[in-house]
Amino acid sequence: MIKKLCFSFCLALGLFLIQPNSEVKANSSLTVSPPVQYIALNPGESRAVEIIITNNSLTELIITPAAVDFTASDKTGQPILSDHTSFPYFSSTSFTEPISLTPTESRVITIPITVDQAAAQNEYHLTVLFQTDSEASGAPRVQNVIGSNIIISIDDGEVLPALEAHLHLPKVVDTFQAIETSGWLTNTASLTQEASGAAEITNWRGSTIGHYNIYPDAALAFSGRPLRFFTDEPLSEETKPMQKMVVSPPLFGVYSVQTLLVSNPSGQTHSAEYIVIAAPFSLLFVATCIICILIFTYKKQKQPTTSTEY
Amino acid sequence: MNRKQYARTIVLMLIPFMVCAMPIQADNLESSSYKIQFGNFNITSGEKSSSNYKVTDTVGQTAAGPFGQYGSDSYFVGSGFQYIYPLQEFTFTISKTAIDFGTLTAGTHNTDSHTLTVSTKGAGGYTVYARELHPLEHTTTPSQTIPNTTCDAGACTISEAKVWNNQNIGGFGYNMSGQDIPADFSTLSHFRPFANQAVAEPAQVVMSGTGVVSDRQSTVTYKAGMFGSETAGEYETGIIYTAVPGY
Repeated sequence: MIKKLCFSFCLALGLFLIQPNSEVKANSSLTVSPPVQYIALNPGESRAVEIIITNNSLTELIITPAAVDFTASDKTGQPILSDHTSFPYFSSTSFTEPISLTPTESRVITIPITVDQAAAQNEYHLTVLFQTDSEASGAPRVQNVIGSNIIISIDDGEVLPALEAHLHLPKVVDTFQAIETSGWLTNTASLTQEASGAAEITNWRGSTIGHYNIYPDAALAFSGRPLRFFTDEPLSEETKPMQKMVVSPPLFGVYSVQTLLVSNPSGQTHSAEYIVIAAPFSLLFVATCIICILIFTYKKQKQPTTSTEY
Repeated sequence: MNRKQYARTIVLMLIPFMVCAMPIQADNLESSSYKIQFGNFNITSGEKSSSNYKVTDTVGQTAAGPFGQYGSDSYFVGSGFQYIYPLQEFTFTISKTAIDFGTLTAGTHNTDSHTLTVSTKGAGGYTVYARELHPLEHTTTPSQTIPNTTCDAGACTISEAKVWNNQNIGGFGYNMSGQDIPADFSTLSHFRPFANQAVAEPAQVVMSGTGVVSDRQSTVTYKAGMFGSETAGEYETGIIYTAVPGY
């Protein structure tokens, strides 16, 4: 009996081992490093920009680099890709040869940049895209394209205007309603600037009831992005930026929201103050309705009733 | 000197240190107009290179790691400035690159799916765009297509998903579910057609997030169905997903 069981087991195991291998489903996984670089160049200067591309997939991939311009979305501040580049200070064919990467292999892509001596102050926003063309075993029907952003500033020393912070605030709020503030960061300069600073909310007595730091986001040249805040100090990798400042109810009186924004590297500052009035409008509305109903009811009772004699 | 006297002497010698110890002044560089994060006094640091090498270093920082070890300790701490470099990565993964609807028959929708996964350490977040090369085309007669879906009421667009449940209405479209997906994919029955690269339609956002994210995952469910008048044969297209980090 035991011999029969052992034989049956070995037979089953052998059948399992000689089955054809099930098809390995190919995945596609790429990593770029770094995801964004800020390169500052002077007229006449040269630099080699490097990006590391890594194939984390299970199969060999053939990857073709390409550079395209991007603009900042005026709603989200995220890059919107173009389908070409107008950057004049590199050869777009110098780094666009297809490369083959085996699983876990990394490759450094070098992009040489040479700025003209007569170049004017300007900024260029590029995304280098790495597109999977075809796997070693055939063309995929789903293509993985990953990007790495490069912001290239050509600085000839021109003075930059300050970043501006604009908050979206109601002018009046109900006593039982929170004050929620979001904002927009605007950069009218020709180069990227980084924001820093703080926003403070004070009540009619001058007491501070809310203090938020402005998250150090970079606003690209001639663009904007949502203003973000944080309260944890010091700022760390774990700090999660907030999209809004919130002051919880109940609120009553006049509130002042003041912002002080410092632009880096220009050092220019921009400050603004907003006034919000909080009052119990909902209570007033309910009270008014009750009074109206009472007056109406009283008047109705006071009306003389007419009777008809038959 | 006996033991008691010895111990008493030691304690008396330690008392001045305990009483007079001054607070440690760390190198926190700040003023009323600036604050330097990760401030550090060291011997040398930065990037050095020659024709044969390129290296970054930080010499003289305090408590440089690593501490612990993966696999043998219950912890790992990568302490020090050199561990900043592995943080600067952006990863995009597609779980499979071949979508197979099998055999389509009139009056039935077929589906297949895969996942998209994004990780980034950058506080700028990310966006993933999607676009098709063209509608599903017959492999030998490209003029024969399975058109992009317009959903049940004919109202879905490349940027707005609508319900597509009627299996008598053919077409090709996709649904998103999971994390960081557009709000119009409110149920598993809401579908969009892909933006068509052949007619220069702009790629559409299918995932986006702000801030640092780790393994944010969504599922793309593709659906195809016949109207019944299509030519028999194989139909195919290509889908391009472009993942771009924020800044």
